[in-house]
Amino acid sequence: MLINWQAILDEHGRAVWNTTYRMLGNDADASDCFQQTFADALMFSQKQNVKNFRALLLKLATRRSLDALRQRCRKANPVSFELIQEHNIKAADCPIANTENKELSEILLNAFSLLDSEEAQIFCLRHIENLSMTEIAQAFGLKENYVGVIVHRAKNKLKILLEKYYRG
Amino acid sequence: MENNDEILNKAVDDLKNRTVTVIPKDVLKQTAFWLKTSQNQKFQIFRPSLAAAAILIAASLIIYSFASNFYTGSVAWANVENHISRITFAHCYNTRQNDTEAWYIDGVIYMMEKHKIVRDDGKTKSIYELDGKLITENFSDIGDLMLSENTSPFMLVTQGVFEYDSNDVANKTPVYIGDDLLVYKFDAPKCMRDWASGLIITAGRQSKLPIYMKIIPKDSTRQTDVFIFDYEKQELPEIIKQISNNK
Repeated sequence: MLINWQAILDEHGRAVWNTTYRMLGNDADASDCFQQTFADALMFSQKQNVKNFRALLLKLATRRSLDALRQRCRKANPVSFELIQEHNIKAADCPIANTENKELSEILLNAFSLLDSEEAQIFCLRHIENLSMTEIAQAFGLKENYVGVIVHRAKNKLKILLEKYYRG
Repeated sequence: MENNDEILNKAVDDLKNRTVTVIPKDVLKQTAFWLKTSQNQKFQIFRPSLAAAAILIAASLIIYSFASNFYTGSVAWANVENHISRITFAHCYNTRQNDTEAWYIDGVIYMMEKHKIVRDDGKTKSIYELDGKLITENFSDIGDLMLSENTSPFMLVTQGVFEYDSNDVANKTPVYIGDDLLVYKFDAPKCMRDWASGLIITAGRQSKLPIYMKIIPKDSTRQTDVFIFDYEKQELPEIIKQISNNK
């Protein structure tokens, strides 16, 4: 079946752009991720039927943006959530504090980069993009219950990281 | 101090409410173009028609700027490509289908098929009716398929279209060296693997220019496509002249 990509771009382009721009904060990086998202979607659609383009595109956009974010953050701080926990790193040394812009959103983005990739993606899709558990479960090929577990796990980790930032 | 849940909720809200710019028009345009051409490309290359030969001509003719990177063995395929890059005219036709022909004239590909004529200059692909009436104009299928500035035309055709490894192609040496001929054998490109087992290209030993390209079908009952190339400038069909002059 021939997919009408122009229609898909018209319908979901704005949402994909919002996701990438919100995460990356500038036109250049957001543009790269935007185009990579559609390239990924095209390749995916050539192998499998797509039932929900919105969910697929948001998943791909979130993954690409988080990858870019992680790359950006890892250059300065090559650590993970587990390492921070294990060594009880203090607020001043915690990578999420190493941001020029101390806006809450920036701190949260830095914290995302410390999570496991799938955890961060699923948390974003649920709480930032407002996808339903069912949509996320379908997009990842997981059971809904398990998606709930991942969201819960990610939430707890983020709370710990934010606590570290605020309370040291 | 607010509790952790509240902080996280605020952070999430803050991120959700971040100011977002509008999508730059060029990004939207490039993406739309890329999606369209990439999708169309799939359909084109699956067609066992003259398009395969036209792509080969295009491939061979537009790679001159990359010739210096090639293996310089006297009869390597790279050497054949090097020679092709110097010519300004080529004519190609399929011996099995006498209603389809392609010409390369000074950087532009013309393909005459049963019901239409396609002109592709690497930037724009124009489709005409057989009476010369323009039906549609779109971005080129051959010259600008990939957005990356690092994608060379050679990579585009060998890896992008035929999905060969560029070094494998450039270093290819003949399976047969005759007094007058060199014969190169390639595995079928991925896009033809369902129905073809390989490509055989015969080139002149002196001229190093391809003379025949044979696509070997997997199914022995299927007729073999043989494409013939010639390089002598010749009288073009009136309609090709007309389209060429109008551009």
